[in-house]
Amino acid sequence: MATHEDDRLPPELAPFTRDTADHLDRLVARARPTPDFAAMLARARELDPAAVSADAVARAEALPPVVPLAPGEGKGDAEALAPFTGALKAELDGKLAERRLASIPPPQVSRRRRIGVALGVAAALAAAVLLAVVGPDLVARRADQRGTAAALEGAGGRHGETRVGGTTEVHVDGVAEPRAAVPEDMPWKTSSEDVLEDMPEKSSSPVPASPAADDPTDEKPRKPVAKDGPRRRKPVEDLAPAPAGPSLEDEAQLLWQKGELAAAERKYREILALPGAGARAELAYGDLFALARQLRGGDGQAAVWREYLRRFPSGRFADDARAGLCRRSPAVSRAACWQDYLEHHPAGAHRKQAEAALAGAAGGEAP
Amino acid sequence: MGSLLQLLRPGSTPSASEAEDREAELLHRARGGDIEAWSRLYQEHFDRVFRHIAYLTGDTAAAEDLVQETFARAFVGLAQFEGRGSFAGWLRGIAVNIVRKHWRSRYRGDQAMDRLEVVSAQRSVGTDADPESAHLRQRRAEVLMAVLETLPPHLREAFVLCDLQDMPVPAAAAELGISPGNLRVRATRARARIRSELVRLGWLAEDSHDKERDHGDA
Repeated sequence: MATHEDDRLPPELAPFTRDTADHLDRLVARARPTPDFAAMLARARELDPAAVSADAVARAEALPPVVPLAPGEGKGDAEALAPFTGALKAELDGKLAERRLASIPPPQVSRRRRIGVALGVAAALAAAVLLAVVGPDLVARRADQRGTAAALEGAGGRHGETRVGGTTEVHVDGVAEPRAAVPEDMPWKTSSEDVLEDMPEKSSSPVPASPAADDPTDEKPRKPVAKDGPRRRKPVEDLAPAPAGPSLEDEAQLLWQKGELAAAERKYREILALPGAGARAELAYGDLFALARQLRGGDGQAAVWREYLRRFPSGRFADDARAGLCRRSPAVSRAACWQDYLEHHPAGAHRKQAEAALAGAAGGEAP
Repeated sequence: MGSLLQLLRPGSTPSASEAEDREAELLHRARGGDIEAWSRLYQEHFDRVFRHIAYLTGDTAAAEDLVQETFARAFVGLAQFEGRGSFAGWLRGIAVNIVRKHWRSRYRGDQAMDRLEVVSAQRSVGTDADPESAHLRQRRAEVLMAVLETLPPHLREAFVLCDLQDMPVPAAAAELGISPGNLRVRATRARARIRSELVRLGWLAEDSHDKERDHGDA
């Protein structure tokens, strides 16, 4: 029977265990293998074909490359988004009063709904005009009833006029409340389904801060709001995330989040066309792979992989792109494709699948 | 507006219960055949399982294969996960079983002893040098790993979990599928065997244990 003292590591062994743990940590950090979900699933199917359908394996192969999360321990989405959420929180805390005045970007809405919003804004404008015409009479009447100061406060709307203008209040209410009532349009939806979609990571720019530049289609309903007076514009200017405005990447991601895939793809293509956009273009391709799959399926994605490899034959996604093309290649040319893969990526993340495929082909079995 | 601000004001990290809920949701969907949910679970747990296996095997190349095998077996056996413990613990338990198989398939006692002798024979450089030199630390790690290879699997895994990974005894015992008392016995035996080997190879003095104890008592 072990004694309590026996539970402890003998002190003379402590340096050995410490050094071994350090050594293993270094090995692990150095190894950092790339997770290969598709290969794992193919193995699972080998183990139990009934538990894993061929369709599931095919779908896994079409998923975007699975890359390690942050170094060390695995991290959740919220942690990965911490810089974004932190920046947003700071901005909110610092400019909460101004934000209450700012027009919050309308959610992704149907054309019919946009028309409805436009009509609503027009109605609000009409009300403002009416108020301007009839207002003095109303004020005078209310002044008669409650005194001038009280009447002025009441004419300002539901919020305090001492801080904001009356007409501004009308429009804040008219725009902000529908936004709050449509949580599905929040850019940081956290439902697991949304996390799993091939949606882009959240932009580092606070999305709600510069809506007008992000979606030109939303400008029309908001223009009348901007004409309401200088107070209306100022908060928007204050909240601009950067003097240069949102980047093409931000715009593309926002469009993607709104479900405007073709427009998002066009934005990413604009990045590709920028002169000297080496690293930016390469990163844009990373998003284009998934976008192309959503827009045009596996063949569309494969076309982007090929385009990428022509431009970046040794790029950061070349390993996954080549492996993806091999998985999709016809059976007759698959072995040659994997052979080519191994020549380009002798230590690639998919080498085991390549070797297995070649071994299968050598045995007369199409991989 | 209030609800909007609540949504706009996220915590930078989810609470433990939020993370658990999220994982439970992913597991539920994975059980229903949702490949993307599985992909997410795989991605989130990959690094930790890999590290666990690398610690057990001391071989990252082998760990790379075994981590895939672990997830593949977990995938086909997900129905057996009843949710009584953590999913991470369940994965680690599968990993331990796979590592045991790996050891059985490649373990050759004589080869392990030969390797230990070779590794240990290179030690002369270090013992008289600065005791904290990088070289000496590297040598100690290599020797201990070589000694571990000579141990029976049940002692080796007990030592790795308790003394290299510093896992709490109850958690380590649950992972190995044995009682905490049993684990303590195994860990104690492993330490004794390791110490004995290190003394035999000249890495520890015969009376080092007594000296340390005297030191501690003084």
